[in-house]
Amino acid sequence: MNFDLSYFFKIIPVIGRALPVTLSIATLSMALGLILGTAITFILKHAYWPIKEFFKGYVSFFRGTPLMVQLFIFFYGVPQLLPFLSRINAYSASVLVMSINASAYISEVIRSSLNSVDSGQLEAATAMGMTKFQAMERIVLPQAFRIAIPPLGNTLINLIQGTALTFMLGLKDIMGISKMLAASSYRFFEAYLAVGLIYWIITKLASIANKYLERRLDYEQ
Amino acid sequence: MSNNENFLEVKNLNKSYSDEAILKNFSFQLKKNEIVSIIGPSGAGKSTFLRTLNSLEPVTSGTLIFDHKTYDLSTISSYKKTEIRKNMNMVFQHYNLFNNKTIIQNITEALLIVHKYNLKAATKKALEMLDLVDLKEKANQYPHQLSGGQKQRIGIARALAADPKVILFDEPTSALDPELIGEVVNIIKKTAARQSTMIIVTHEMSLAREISDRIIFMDHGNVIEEGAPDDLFLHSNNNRLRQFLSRLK
Repeated sequence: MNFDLSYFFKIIPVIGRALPVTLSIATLSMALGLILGTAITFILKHAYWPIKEFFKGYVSFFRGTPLMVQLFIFFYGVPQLLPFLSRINAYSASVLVMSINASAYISEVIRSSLNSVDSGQLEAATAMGMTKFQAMERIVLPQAFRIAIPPLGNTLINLIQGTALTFMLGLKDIMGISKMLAASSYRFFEAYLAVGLIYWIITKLASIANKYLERRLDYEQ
Repeated sequence: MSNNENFLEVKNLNKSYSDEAILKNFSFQLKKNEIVSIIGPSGAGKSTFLRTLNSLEPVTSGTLIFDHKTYDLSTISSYKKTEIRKNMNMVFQHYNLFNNKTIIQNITEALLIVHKYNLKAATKKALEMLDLVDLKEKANQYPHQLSGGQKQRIGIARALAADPKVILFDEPTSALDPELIGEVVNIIKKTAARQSTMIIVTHEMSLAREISDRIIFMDHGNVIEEGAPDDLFLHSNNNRLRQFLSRLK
């Protein structure tokens, strides 16, 4: 068998040094995606129809096309029309596209979570003299947030794994580094297995954190 | 204010869903310390009427006079809605307790947020209310841990807490299992002694008869008959009312 165990262990910390790139793209995209996605939910609920239709199309497009295609369209395609965008670096482009991609999924999650809080509670709160905003903030949103945590955890995991595509834009994330190591050492199996292991551990940690958060917010036990 | 003056009055109330009229030129008066029950078949517009009082239902037209102020219900602003709602609380058919709040927080919520009590005063008041509905031991539990009857007793405690000038009961026992109705009826009777301006929409005839000063029988968006409980239940000659009452027996 031809598996170089010492090389395998040697490159794990080398790949690990690129972790900040991978993790920062994922968390930034998640944070921006949450803000954007929540905004889209409210736009889809309340805006006038041309705006509504635009964002319906937006959600449909970003859920209906592969992330890699979106990255390529934005990084290689769009600057053809808007030359000033050709100066955008691969990191910013990745964060931007992945935020937009995440926002399409997140808006769906937020919408269905809000719908699953029964409207009687909102009615009771406003019937007591609370403003709609107070009722949303204090009664509906905390419950919707609790319902949204598991699917939002999945979105985060998808984002983390999605960052593996950003090496295609030339980014030196953990996948990009692994590819370079593999190409220079011809040790493909070791390099890709090492990076796979790292993704697995990050994903596992993210889902543990998700479970913990879910349990902390659970008032039904 | 003289005791004979109308404390709450509704005039020319009209409401329709699409083309169907739910309330037709409806009018209603309530005196201070008066308990009125509204009975009638499903779809008569009883609950809809109740929900127009605190503007949970928009109306086509209608005037409300409440607590010496006059409101046009068809154009009422959010500010005016809040003004009414601060003094007019509601008990719901499906309880509508806040699932993310403990029982005591369900009661303190509006005291803190709407009525600006401090936490100590709100807690004191909430415990007093829990005592009234005999559920003090549930203070720190969550709604899902309670039975339907207990949830509705909390709903009543919550509605009473801010000392509203009127309480609206929207079919408070209709969602309950038959064996749980009694405990809620008892609590409503008990609260009637304390807070005695109430409008009750109910299918529970024994409650209506025992507790009310006046009963209104409604059908198809109109008042068909109204009067003292015994007049309606025992001496009415109105065919529709007699038919309705006989079907319940």
